[in-house]
Amino acid sequence: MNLLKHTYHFLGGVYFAMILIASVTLFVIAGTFLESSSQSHLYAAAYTYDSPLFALLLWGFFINILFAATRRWPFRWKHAPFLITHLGLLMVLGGVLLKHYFGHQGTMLLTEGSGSHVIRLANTFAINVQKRGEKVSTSHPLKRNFSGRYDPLIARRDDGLVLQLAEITPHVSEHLATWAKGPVAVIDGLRPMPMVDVIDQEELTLAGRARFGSEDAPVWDLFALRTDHTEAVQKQVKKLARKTPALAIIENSDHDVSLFAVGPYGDVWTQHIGKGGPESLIAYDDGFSGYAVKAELPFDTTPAHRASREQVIANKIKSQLEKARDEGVALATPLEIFKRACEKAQVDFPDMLTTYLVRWNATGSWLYPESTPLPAELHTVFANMTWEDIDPHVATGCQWALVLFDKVGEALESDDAPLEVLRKARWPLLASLERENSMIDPEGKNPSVILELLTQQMLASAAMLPAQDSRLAPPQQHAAMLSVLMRAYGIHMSTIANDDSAPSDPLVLETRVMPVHEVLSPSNKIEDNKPRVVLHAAKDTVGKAMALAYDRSGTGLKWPVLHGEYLLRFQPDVIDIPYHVRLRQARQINYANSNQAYSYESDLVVTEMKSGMTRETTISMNNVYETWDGYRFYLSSISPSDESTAKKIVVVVNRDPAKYWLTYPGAVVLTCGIVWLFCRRKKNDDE
Amino acid sequence: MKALVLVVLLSSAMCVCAEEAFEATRDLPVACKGRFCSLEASARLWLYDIYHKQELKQSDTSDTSALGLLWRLHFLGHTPWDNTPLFWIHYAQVKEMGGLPLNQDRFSYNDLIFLKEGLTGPAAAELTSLQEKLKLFAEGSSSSLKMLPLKKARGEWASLHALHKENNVTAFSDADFQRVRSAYLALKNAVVNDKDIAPATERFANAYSDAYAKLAGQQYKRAEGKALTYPTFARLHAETLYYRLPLIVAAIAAYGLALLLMIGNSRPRNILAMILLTAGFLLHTTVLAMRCFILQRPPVSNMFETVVYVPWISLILGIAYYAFTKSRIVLAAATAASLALLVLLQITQVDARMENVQAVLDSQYWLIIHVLMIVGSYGAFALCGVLAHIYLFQSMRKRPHNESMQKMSQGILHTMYVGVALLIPGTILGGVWAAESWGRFWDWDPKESWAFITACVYLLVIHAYTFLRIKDFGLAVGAIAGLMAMSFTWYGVNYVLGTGLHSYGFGSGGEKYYFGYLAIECAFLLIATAVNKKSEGTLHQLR
Repeated sequence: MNLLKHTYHFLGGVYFAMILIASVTLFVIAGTFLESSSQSHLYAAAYTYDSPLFALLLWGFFINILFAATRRWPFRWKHAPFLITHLGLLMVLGGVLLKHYFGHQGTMLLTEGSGSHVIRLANTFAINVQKRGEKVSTSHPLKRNFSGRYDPLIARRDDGLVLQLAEITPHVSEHLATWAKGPVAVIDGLRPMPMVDVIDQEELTLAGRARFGSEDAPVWDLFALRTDHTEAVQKQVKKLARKTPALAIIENSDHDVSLFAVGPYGDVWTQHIGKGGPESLIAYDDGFSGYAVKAELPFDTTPAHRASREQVIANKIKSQLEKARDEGVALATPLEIFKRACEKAQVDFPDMLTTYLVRWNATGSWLYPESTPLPAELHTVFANMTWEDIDPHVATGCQWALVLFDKVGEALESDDAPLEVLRKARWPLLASLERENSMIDPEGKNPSVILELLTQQMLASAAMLPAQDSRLAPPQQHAAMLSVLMRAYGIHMSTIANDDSAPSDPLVLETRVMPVHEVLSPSNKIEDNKPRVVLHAAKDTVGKAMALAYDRSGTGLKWPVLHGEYLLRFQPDVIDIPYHVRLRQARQINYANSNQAYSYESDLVVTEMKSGMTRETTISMNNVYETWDGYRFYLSSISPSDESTAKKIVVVVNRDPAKYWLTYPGAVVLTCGIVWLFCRRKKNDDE
Repeated sequence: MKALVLVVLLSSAMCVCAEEAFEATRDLPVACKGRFCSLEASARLWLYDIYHKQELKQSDTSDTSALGLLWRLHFLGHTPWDNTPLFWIHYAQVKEMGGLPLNQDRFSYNDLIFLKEGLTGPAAAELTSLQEKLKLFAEGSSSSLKMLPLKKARGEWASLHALHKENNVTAFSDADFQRVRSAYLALKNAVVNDKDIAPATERFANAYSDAYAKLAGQQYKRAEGKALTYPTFARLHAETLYYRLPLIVAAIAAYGLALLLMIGNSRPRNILAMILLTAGFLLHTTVLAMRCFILQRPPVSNMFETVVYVPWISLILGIAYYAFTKSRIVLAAATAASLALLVLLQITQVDARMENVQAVLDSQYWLIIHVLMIVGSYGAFALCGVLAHIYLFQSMRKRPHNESMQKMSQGILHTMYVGVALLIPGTILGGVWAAESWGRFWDWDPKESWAFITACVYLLVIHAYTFLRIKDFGLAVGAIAGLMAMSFTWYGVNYVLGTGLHSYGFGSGGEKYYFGYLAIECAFLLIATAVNKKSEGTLHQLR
């Protein structure tokens, strides 16, 4: 009994109070410095404000203040200020505790025009479960037990689904594996191909061959390569694909994947999937059957024959020329020259043009080689070609271009760095060439840009070069000269074929998407960490383990489990509120002549879901909307600050059931008590 | 002694009456950093920004006023001043880089035009900002004088250069516009040909004032529940005066003299000290009142304003305490606290600019309640701290526990009470503000945490003292410990920790001095305690 009495007096005594105040002070000081050094509030909070020891101290306060008051029983008038001060403290402390257990505090993300009635509870963990055939999902929070560990059982649902927590990892990185999935590359419908590390860029290992489409379609060479020199390897693939079309899946060490295809006519197509994941996904059955990425390659699977392909292009050229003729559109200079020559030779212009372009393309050379023999019809056309009608410098320029390409053309076309070749050849206009190239093709991915610029430079500087007589030139030379002019105008089989953006039957490839996690050492800044859970989902006799990385925004993909019966997502806990909030418009009003914000405002439409009552309101910083039953909506942030896109806002939603009758009155009582204590003390001193 | 006062007052008055050719335009409004301030204020701030002084030195140029320089730059372009040393450089690295003499502080445009990038640390920051200033100087944007309110967009103002065109794009009426325009062109003519400038200035100022009078005081921007208005002439004039009058320096002088006089104990000295103290306090009040009037908000939203406001509260408390108890030592302590903080303010050159308040803080009602209470409590604690220092000094001089010591320790206790009575409710009301405005009552944000820590330190001292665990000496030591905690809440959270939600007015600089102060304070406490222990021992032996 005596011990009990001693304990009671100690717990309500000033020594205990001072010990408590001192230790809480030390805790908080440590907390502020931890936060400053780690720049992470959560990190500091984990060791201090959120630690069980700190909670124990707060409860100690509660007991101390309570006992300090009860110890003075029976109360006398002189105790009043002391009691009132401590009552105020108890009320504030109680109010904060009640809010913690029974209140809501969450955020709502809204885009202009959108609405929601779900709030996200920041820094909480939950598994969001959606059942097949149901629109709404359920949130199952991860609960901690007394020791601070997570409870292994997450949920045992009425529909028989049991979710169990197998493991939680503090920090992982997540990327979506697409064409390359770890050791293998996968294209749906084909056998998985082993990924091969590129050791020697000159010798790429073939992963397989495949034919897409009909029996007479071309056979594609397939590559599955791992390298950090993606562009160099792509160039090499292009070199190898001179004869057969090729498709390469290339992954770098950052898991960036590129799908690179060289079509039957040397046309290049590429799809790049970087850090942010694929730009679009296919969700099979709303995701219940998984996700896939699709690549639509602009190569016709039928017709596959070169002849028929050429026919398509010829038809296209023909129809365009006819259209131009009907509409009275002037033709580009090279076409005009060619057309006149055709008229003189009395042959069909579109036909001849197609023949010329096809033959030129077949040589695979930048310009039409003079050495290539001309078919009889084209021979007559070029024999009739005259350059006098147009600017005489053009012909000069074309001839000099031939001379130039005769000297360095081969080196230029085969080398990966044409600028280097020109530098070695001491090309006088290199500087301006480099400048323009860096503007058009800043990453230097496309060497043909340099060839085109070079051709244009030759023509532009023709006036400064000695003229040659083009009338004496043989038809082959005219053919070559015309190709120079056409290049300058960007006319070539490949440009026309590429222009054909929607082939009738494109090559479509697909592959499944799956998340891949890599465990990383967690950062002190907990806010930046991405935890991962390994779950065991079971229903009846079927069970499956799956790993999910934390989705902080709760807006990412949900992953199927148990044969697509459920979709799961690891995200902050969410709760429904009885109000639907829609954002009409958000705006930032600036001070005059400056970018500093004067006011942030949002127009909301708030509908009480039970009664259907709707109210329009404007909230701004320092100006909140509160419903009759205590839900409060605060504008927390608006982005972006300019008018570039629809504005997104974060609304903080909270409900504090104890605020008006406990916390705030407590603050008033406390204030009165302190003032009273102060006045009374003074009177005593005076006495 | 009276002669000395006269000298101080006269010298402060002297600064006001410098004659100037463009004097008539000093109170005209101009757009400046999101506000509209008087032309004189904007000129002085601009000059301070590049030249590190609000007025030019006679040796650097013939015309010493910022306003005159700004107008001339506006009309004549920068070329005539290309060899005038207008740009102040602090870091030696920057000077070295430009091959400039290290013993010189100010350099001309032509000296600096060849500066390149390539420094690190704070010198790099100065270099970047210097280059920006040079650019603005060369472009003429720093002297473009945005004084024409546009018709199209309310609140957007255009440069006076727009008056070169005939069509009226301003919010002025056509007649007003034509008058302003012709007066402007005449003024330009006078300046360019170096004719009699003053009458032309007068004419322009009158024409412009007549035109602006119709806009003054009107709303130009509205937001939910609040609006911005164009300044009235009274506000503009007040701003000009604010920058012209060396109010703070004068207040420092008055407080300093008053404090010197208070040390003695003769009647005439006391009267004179009280007169000086009152004068200083009035000047001090004027600073705050003018800022209130000009900015139309309580003067507590940046470091400069709080450093003016805290000693003001200390002094009010000191005077009130004196009125009740006739304790001269408390009054002297309050004067000392004010003097120390104002001198600190003057030495450190804290940014004194008048700025727009951040949207988050823009709630007059809560800003007044919360911040005035918290910062007010700092005032009480500052006074309490100074008293504690005096007490400890006295106790080290082995004075017996006489009546004056008793009075002093009472003063310490009472000011501590006032501080706590302001701090705890103020902090809780801050929580209520946060709950009302942003949805959180308490979040253990560093500023909140340190307010809590400060309150805890004082509560610890009060509990220990009330329940007789410590005596007057301990109370004084506790008051100084509390002062250190308070200084960290006030300065340290913003400048040392630099993290958290209360990020308005974060800054850097002076950390070394601050830690130095803390170290000295600790050493002082140790010495005082050691001396006290020893003297208690002797006292014990004597008994």
